[in-house]
Formats: sequence, C-alpha cells, structure tokens
Amino acid sequence: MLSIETVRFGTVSFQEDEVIEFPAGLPGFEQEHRFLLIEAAESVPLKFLQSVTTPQLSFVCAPLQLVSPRYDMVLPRQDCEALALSADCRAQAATLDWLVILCFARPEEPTANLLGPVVIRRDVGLGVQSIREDARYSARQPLFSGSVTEEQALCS
Amino acid sequence: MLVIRRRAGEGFLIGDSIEVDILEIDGNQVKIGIRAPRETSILRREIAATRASNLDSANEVESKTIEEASKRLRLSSSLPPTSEQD
Repeated sequence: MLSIETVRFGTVSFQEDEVIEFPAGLPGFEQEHRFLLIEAAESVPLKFLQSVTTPQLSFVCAPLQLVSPRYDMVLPRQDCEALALSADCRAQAATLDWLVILCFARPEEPTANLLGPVVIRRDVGLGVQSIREDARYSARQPLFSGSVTEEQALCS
Repeated sequence: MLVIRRRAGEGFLIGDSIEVDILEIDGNQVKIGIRAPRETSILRREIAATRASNLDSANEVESKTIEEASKRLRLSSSLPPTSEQD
C-alpha cells in the first residue's frame, strides 16, 4: 500500500493499480503524470483528480454527463493513441470516463472546462486532457446558468 | 485587428524574427509553417485557454465552496432533462 499526504484529504492510501497515468500531463502541468481519482461522500457527485507527485495539487472535477448531458464526445486521433485505443475510437468514446475540471476563480460562479474534458480509461489506468480542435465549447462554461440549454452550453 | 489576404505559398513576417508561411489550403483548413526563435511560445489557442483555466483550477478551493457546488449540481441534475433539440 502506498500513501501520500494531501492537503485536502490528509493521508491517502492507494494501490499502484489505482494510479491513472497521464502520459502528456495536463496543459500547464506537463510534469504531472500520475493522478488518483478520489471521491468524498460530502461532495458527491464531484470528484478530485489528485496528483500523486505533488500532494498540494488537486483538481475538482464533475462528470461531464451531469454538466452537459448532450455533449458531443469526440476524441481526436492523438488522444485515442494516448489512451492506447485504436485510431478510430469513436465507438469506444462513450465507454470511457469523461470529466470536466471545475474552476472556482469566482467561488460563487464556478465554471467548467468543456473545451478540454479529462478522459480516463480505467481498465488500463490511462488518462488524457482532450482538447477539442473546434470552438464549439468554452473553457470556462458557467456551471450553473439557470436552466441550462444546449445553446447556452455551446460557445458562440 | 490587421487583416491580410494571402495565398498558399505566400507568407508574412511578425517583427524581425518570426516568419509565417501559408503552406497549404484545403477547404476550411489551412496548414501553416512558423519559423520563430526557440524561446517564443506557440500554442494553439484552445490549448492556451485550457492551460490558463487549469492554472486557475489548481488554486486551493475552500471545502465549503466545493460542498455548495456539489449540492447545487445534485439538485440541478435531478431535474427532468430539458427537451431534445436538433
């Protein structure tokens, strides 16, 4: 059993096979390759992408499905490769875990990065922040914008 | 914003040290070549937006704020889904 001292959760014990490897890191955090996905009872359905190498680094995430139910889940070829999937992985896209990283720069108005969802393949422990090449979604979509319609979820 | 019109095979300069070539135009896609000093960062705009957002997201967030957001998300996701649109 391995363990890290995190800021948010105190001591977190984990098995090596729970670690999710991000081969390319995340933009802005290219050196961060190893994360745990942590859930806490008091903050369901949110999840925490906790760095294994930097205990003070964690990202608050939400399931993409809850934030944007009709999101067009497309994986560019290089991201399929990063997840060790065949190049044409459109059919497999729905079987992966899709999360969005939340931003609380203004705590009363959190935003979600729909431009670059985090996609995780649990069976092999691989993850990638998959950044869309089109401009259909915003990197800072308000999480709560009253009645969320698809029009509002899309970036103009 | 400066707008210039270029054809494939043409190019332009930004300052003394950045050179941009329009290599190929295919439908709505343009292949661009850039020659710039090593220290010049060149990022696709969507990656820069995600990078900035990630840096903000990495800041510490109060537990109270997170619990509040999770509560609101639980409430909003239990609402009936909005009607399908084309």
